[in-house]
Amino acid sequence: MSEYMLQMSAISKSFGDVLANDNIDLAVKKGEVRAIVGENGAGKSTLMKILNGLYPPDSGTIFVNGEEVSIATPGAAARLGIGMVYQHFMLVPTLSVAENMILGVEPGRYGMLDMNAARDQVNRTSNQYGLKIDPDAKVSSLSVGMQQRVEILKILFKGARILVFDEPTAVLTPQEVKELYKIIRKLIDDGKTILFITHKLNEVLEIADMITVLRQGKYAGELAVADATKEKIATMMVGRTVLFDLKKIPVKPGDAVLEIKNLFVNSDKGLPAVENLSLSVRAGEIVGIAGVDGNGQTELVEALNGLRKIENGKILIDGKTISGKRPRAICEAGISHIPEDRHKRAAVGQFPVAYNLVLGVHYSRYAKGFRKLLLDFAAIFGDAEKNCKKYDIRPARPEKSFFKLSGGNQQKVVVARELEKEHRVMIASQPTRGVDIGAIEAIHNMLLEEKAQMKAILVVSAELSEIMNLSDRIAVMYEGQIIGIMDRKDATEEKIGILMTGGKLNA
Amino acid sequence: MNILSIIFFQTLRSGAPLCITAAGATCSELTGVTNIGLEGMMLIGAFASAVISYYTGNPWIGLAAGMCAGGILAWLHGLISIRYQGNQIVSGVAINLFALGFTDFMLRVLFNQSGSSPQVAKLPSWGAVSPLLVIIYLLCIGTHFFVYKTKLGLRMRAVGEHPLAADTVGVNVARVRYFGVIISGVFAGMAGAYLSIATLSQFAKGMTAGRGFIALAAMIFGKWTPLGALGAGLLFGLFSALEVLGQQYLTAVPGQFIQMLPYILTILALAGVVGRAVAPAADGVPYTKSED
Amino acid sequence: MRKEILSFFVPVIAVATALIVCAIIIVFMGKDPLQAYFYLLQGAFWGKSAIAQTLIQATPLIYTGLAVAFAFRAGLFNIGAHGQVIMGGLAAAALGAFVMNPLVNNVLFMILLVCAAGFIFAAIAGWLKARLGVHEVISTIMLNYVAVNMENYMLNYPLKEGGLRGPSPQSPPVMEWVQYLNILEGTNLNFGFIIAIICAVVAWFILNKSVTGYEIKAVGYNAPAAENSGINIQWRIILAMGISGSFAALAGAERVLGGIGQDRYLSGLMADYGFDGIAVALLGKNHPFGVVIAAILFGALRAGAMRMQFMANVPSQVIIIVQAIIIVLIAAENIFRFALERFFHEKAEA
Repeated sequence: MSEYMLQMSAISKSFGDVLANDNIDLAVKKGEVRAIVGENGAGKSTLMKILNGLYPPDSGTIFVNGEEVSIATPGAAARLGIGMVYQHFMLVPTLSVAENMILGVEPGRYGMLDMNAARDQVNRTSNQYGLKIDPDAKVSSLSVGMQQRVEILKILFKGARILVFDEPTAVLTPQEVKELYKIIRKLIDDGKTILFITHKLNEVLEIADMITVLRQGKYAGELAVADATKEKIATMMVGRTVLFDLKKIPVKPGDAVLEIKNLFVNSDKGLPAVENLSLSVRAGEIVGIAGVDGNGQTELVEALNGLRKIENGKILIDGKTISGKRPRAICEAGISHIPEDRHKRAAVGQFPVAYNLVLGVHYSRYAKGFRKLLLDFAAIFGDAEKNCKKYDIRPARPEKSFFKLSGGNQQKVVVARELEKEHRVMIASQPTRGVDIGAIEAIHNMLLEEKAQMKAILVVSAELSEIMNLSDRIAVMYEGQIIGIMDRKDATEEKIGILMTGGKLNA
Repeated sequence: MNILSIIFFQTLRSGAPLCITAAGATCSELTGVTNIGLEGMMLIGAFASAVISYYTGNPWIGLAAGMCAGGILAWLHGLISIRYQGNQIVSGVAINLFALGFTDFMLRVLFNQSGSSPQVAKLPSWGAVSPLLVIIYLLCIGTHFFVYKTKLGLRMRAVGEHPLAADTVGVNVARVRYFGVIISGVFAGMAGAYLSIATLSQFAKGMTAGRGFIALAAMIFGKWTPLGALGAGLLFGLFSALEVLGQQYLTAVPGQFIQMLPYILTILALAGVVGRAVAPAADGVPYTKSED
Repeated sequence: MRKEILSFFVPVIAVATALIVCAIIIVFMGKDPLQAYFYLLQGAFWGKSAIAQTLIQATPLIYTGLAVAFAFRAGLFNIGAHGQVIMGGLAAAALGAFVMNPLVNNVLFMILLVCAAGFIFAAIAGWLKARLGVHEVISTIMLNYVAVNMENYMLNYPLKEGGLRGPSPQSPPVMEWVQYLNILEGTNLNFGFIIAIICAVVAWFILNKSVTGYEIKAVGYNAPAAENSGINIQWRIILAMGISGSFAALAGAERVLGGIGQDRYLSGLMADYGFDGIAVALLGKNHPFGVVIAAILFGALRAGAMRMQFMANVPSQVIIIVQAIIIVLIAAENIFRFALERFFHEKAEA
């Protein structure tokens, strides 16, 4: 009997000519909580997907409980007692909890579905681990925390002894995160072994026993949490010394530039998403909106940019009403916008970088000729060269297709474009999502530079640390309203966490 | 026979090929494969059943041939869409063009005629109604039970909404999708057989006249459920029935405008419902294992 | 880099494969494929008359190919080129045959009217898609059937030569001064071919040099991103469909005004140009100049098919099968990518 519950030896995997995993070793003892950290693209997800049978490794061996195994399919992984809770839930939203749980192992004879048996099975597992859930609830109607619970129950139901969590706290409130820690500790007491992919170093220090660091597909080291600090881990992740330090220059804010008054906006389903929201942002200040995804932030930002209809209320820039205007007019009025979903909204992947750098001003600043019908290619490519250098966009080849760039460089292109527009207001929505540490630093510094230039900046982010690092004032959104707003100096993670779940602060 | 029963029976007759094709289309799209090629599959089903019926003298074997032909063409569409992850709309259009050309070509080669085949053995009929009609409607209802009450039906629904989730629990996404798309072809082939050897007794060039597309519209109008497809198919069958009646009774209006009616009504129906009808989330999107 | 090279060769491989498959079919029919293909080539390129035939057959395909390709760049499938061709032809016949006044009935006006007819007819589908989300594949196909019936009606009633008691469903010949001039003596090759080439240049110019083209492509590649940057995607969709319809309509005009149908709109004149336009657009990779080359290829196939049928007794419908196989292969172009990757991978491992 090996002392290790799980051992992955010399695992390598390529996709085309990208070497995602290069000779990686991992050994985890039974009852251990192992954190796996690394930047975006370091290979953490790939390694865990191999463990879960989604694809086979090109080379290397895996041992479970001392025995060499071959994990050809997710079914095989489940039979070995390996289960994974994915970052983007593997739940079918239109089906019920029970249907999701039994998918692939449905009870019933002659091909018929026995939903009564399914419900019984769900309830049994739910009671066994003390995680309550309604088997007939449609998954799309559940909160994110509850959906994660269904994911956990799903793998426990299939007999998981090794549980893998992929960025589990990305979508949870601080209180829900604490709940998750409790669940993890209970599972450890029950004799499970837990692997935990994350990039949140605070959480690693709180919940894990051991840390494995991956860097650019390779194994970069291992350390016990007792010996670890955030700086040490980050340095191993990046390969150079990383200081968690931003250049903050104190700026005295001016008058209000962006004013939102009594705003009402509906969601796609016609239900209220933003209710009676009022907020103002002054020149030279950064206002951060904290809150769990799904409380109206997306709809608010869309309404501010003219992408969503405003049911009631007003939005003003420098006293001029812009609510109800089309996106182009709002952009011309002086709002720049970094969209939250880079792939969907921010850029046209098939266009070259240079084209993306002018998207939004292509018809005005970069058009020439009779009635400005023609594109001014000299200006487009000329400015693109300048901006690639100015914003450190790599590789600095403006004719290259946008989708060939890394996530961080893509985001830099988007940010560069929005900064180069003439604007008074900058709305940055999840500005560093999916971006690696080096680029995060750069983007944060760009936003602080904006503040020094007396722009009015609104940052919407689900990353509390980002809000805390950048904001002068912090507002918390809950169920479409600003449930609390405070100066940075009065704010603590605790207080914001309480507001994020709709609680009230004591005086 | 009073006018209401004339309308009723004509609706059932015109609706049959639409309903069964729409039910098949629903199966395909529920698993996430868009099948624009139904028109071609219906056409080849009509052709194959007529030809085999001609050579064997047995219309039931002809029916089976028609269903097989539709299934084979659907398998080809599946190959392009699922295995080679091609553009599903282009593939569907290609299949339609192929079916048109192939049937035309074979008419010349086999019968040395272009336009229509000679008379072939026809399916028996009980008065004005063909037994195939009954089979078709029973199948439509059966499809609904299949999709919602069987294990495979559950997997089909999962695969069309979130194929990755289904894959991670061990469902063979490709196989389920092949099943869905081949069923749609078999059903379309059956609809074609209905046109050529149940109502008439020959194949005529282009005889499907857009029914495959109307069936798609019925699927959308029925919100991607088999019973919805059945209802919508009957509605569009009613449009067709109105056309037949209009030809007979509204002699003042030029026939061509009456013939336009089903197509215009289909557009209006779609215009009214879209926005409230939501396709399966992974519809038309090829499934690849992510490579991050 | 490999992907780009591959992308260029796929059409070539597709055509070659289709020809090979059809050769096999011809063998099954008991005929000699080499002989058949010889007559095919002869009918397409041997001599002035053959070349003229090729280009005459190619002309409507250039127009409809451009129509489909242009819409495709906006992310739209214009399967309705057939209907738009008909509308263009009807407009040309209506103006050309019935209006006596040369101040109104002249080539310039004609082109404007035809383009407008095509634009509006296609824009209906564009509007339905942009405003109501109706899938343009279904709406354009439905409109095709509407157009076919409209053609039937027009040629039998208002536009009928000789009035209601006229001998056949066709329009009277169009006025002499509005007919397209002949550009090759002794053949029917007319100015419409030149206009088609001009259209290709116009399409290329719009797509690659203008702000509108930039916006249309942005909408086609990523509509939410285009919307976010201020582009009005609804108007761009309608505009793209409209321009697409105009190109297609000009095909109808050329058939009526170019002398192919004895200077009049004959029933059935518009054949399958709409659907073949799809094949041409795909083969030409949705690039205006690729479309021209692909159209000439298909034109050659048609011109040659007649001779092949006459001399080698192979039914001309074989050409339709060639076409279909080409489209199927292009739709599945990944087949080639997979096959080549496996080939190189095996070589590397060996």
